[in-house]
Amino acid sequence: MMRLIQRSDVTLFEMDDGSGLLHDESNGHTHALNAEAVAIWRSGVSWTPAELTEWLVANGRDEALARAGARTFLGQMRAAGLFEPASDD
Amino acid sequence: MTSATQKSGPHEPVVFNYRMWRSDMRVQIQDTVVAGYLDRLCHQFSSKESESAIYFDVRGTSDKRWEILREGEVLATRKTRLGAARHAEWRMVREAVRAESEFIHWHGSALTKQGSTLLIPGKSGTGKSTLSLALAANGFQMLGDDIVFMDPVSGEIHPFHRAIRIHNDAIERLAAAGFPLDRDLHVGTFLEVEALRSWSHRAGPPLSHVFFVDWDVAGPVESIQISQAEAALELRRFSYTLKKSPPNRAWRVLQRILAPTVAFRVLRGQDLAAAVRVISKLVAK
Repeated sequence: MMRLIQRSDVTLFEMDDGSGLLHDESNGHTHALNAEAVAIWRSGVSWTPAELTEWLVANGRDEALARAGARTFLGQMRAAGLFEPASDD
Repeated sequence: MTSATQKSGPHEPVVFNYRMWRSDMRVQIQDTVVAGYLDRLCHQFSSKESESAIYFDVRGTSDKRWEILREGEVLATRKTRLGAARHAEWRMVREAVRAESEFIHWHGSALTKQGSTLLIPGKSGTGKSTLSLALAANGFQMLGDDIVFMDPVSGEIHPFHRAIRIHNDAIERLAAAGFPLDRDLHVGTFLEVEALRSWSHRAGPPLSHVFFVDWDVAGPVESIQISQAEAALELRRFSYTLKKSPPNRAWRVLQRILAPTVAFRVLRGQDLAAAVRVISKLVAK
């Protein structure tokens, strides 16, 4: 299972309502995250879909929704270049 | 109303001195009709002569056009007197914005009501002025339209009473929403500031609400709350100050400004009165 790692050179700006901005200085892009995505970003630097599913369930999500949510989140973050595949995978 | 500060003879140019936000301007105009238009647009900024003023000229050319100059350099040429006056006004306002480094400038409208201050960012011609005028007729006080200056530390929006640019059909739409306007106060597509009685002359309380209005939706008025992160991402596009700031600095400023705010996307159809009701209700919560 693919393990993804957060880019360490991206800066998180947390907003008062829990949402956040991730600024990637390498290309000047900034992405808006909702409060749950910010919580995930802060909770760990690397994830597999299974680990993230487990984390979402532990935080109150229904398991089927959590599984789909984990895949979507990691897919979108990878597509945005904010997570990268771990080198030992 | 006139604010000419010097007029030394029938063939001498008219000179106006203006203080726009924190910049002084001196404009010399050959033609009294152009001067009349410019005075109607800018008389609220009339001030004393200043040695540090930026010099503008509006003068006729041999091919019956009008040149607008800044410090002797031709900035633009216009075919009509009204076009020349409008362009001179815009150039001076732009100068005032560009000279400002301590305050944040927003492209949008700002209004205040009972402890709340709302910002409606928007590009020119998107109908934000029409909506703002309708809100001003329903208990809000206008702080500024088109150009808004904010203290980046306190989040307070300061009054800047620029003439209001409106759509051709705005008078009918505003009348239907209960806000008849005096046609005599029209200068082309602009309204003199006297058209609106409910200007605020003091800084509003810190920003509390941001409304991004989608003008193209045909249908009922709807509002959707958006996160502060989404608001920050969108809001930066409407600030000359923040667009030219390094991103990390801009995001930190927006983090602070947006902390006490709620932001909404408002989908607005043709029903101006309904949009006013929705926004008024959200601000009253």
